Amino acid sequence: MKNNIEDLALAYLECRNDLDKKLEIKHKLLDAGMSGQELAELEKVTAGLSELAIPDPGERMTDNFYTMLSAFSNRPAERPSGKATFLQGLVQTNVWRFAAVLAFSLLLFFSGWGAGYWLTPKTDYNRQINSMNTEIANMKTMLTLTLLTHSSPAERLQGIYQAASLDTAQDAVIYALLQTLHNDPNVNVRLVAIKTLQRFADKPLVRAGLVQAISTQYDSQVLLLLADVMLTLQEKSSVAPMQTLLKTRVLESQVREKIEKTILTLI
Amino acid sequence: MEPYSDNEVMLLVRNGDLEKLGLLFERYKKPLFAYFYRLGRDLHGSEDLVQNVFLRLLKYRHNFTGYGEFHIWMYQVAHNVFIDHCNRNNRYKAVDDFSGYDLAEEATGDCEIIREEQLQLLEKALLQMHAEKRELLILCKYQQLKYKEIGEILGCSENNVKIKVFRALMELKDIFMQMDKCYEK
Repeated sequence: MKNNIEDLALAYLECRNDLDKKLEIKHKLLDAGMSGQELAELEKVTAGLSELAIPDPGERMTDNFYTMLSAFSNRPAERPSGKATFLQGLVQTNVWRFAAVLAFSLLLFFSGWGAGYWLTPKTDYNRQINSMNTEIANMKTMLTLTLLTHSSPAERLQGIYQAASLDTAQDAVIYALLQTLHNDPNVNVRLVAIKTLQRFADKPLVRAGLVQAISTQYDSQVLLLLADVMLTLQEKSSVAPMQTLLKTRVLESQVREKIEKTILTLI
Repeated sequence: MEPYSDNEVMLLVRNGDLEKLGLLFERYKKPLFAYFYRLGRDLHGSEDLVQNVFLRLLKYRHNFTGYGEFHIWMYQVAHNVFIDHCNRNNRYKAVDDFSGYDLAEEATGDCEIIREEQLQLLEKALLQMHAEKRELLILCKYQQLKYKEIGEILGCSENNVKIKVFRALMELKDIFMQMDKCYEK
């Protein structure tokens, strides 16, 4: 409705010749809430606006314009933009020089690269890499051993993750992981230790340690995971300790079923 | 022979025939001068601003694509020139200085005196408005531009322009009536 008043009022002010139409719009405006006095004042102001005199511009303006135009026309041709200048300069004037410099630079670069590649003694290079790898592995081992002795479970978990990142584990690391599996008070740490030891299960020491853990672990989750690992490794030597476990201990039904199934699969 | 259209002339200017800008200057010097004069009521200042507009048209002639109407582009440039001028002089607001006005100057008969007085009051009222609103009324009433064209110049919709013009007229009416009352007293 508000917009309608604005549209109607502007249409009313613009309507000059068609009196019938103007009257019709006026009625609509009055119906819309605009007073007759307000409309008359608005019309007076609008009419007055078109009567306000505007002086003609002086000759000075015209003279100044043509002086400016003349000065602008006589200016030297404008330089194109930066990119265009660079490219045009490259193509038109210095193309051969640029090509020669580029070719020489490329030749120099590839000569240096080739010389470096062929002249570097490969054996030394490989030896250095091996030496660096050994050093990194030693550092990771040291870090693992240090972290595993930490009092915080989070730090010990970090130590086990470090051990898992090793390609080959030294015996010291295996011993430390087995030690953690058998003695760590935190269940999560023991679970992660089992998963990490499984990575190094090609070592008989690890397999023996995992089998031994069946009789030393009391936590249900740990026992379930050990049963899974035994199945994965197809470790038949774990059958005897698992049978002993069934006979000597009161186990949760879920653990008991899992161990029974594992024994049946391994036999 | 049919005269060149504004767009054709400006395209010639863009392509290097700078002298042709004279044609556009002759066509638009008065409307542009009126635009600036009504905005600031400064004779010499308005002449300089017109010159600035044409200087910018020359400088940025490569930006003219020829797709839109030339006069819309020109008024966009003029609008920017005016805003820059106001920013430089910190004057994008109502003009309060009426020292150059003498209410009874050049009046002859009684009716003529009253009419002149009313027009001068209206001029005062117009100058009391914020320049943004004054510009809208000037584009609409003096430059005879359509609401859609004004929207293109000022960067708003046609409906928005209508609303703003109506409000500006109402404000002008209120200022004028108030001044009229004070004058009568």
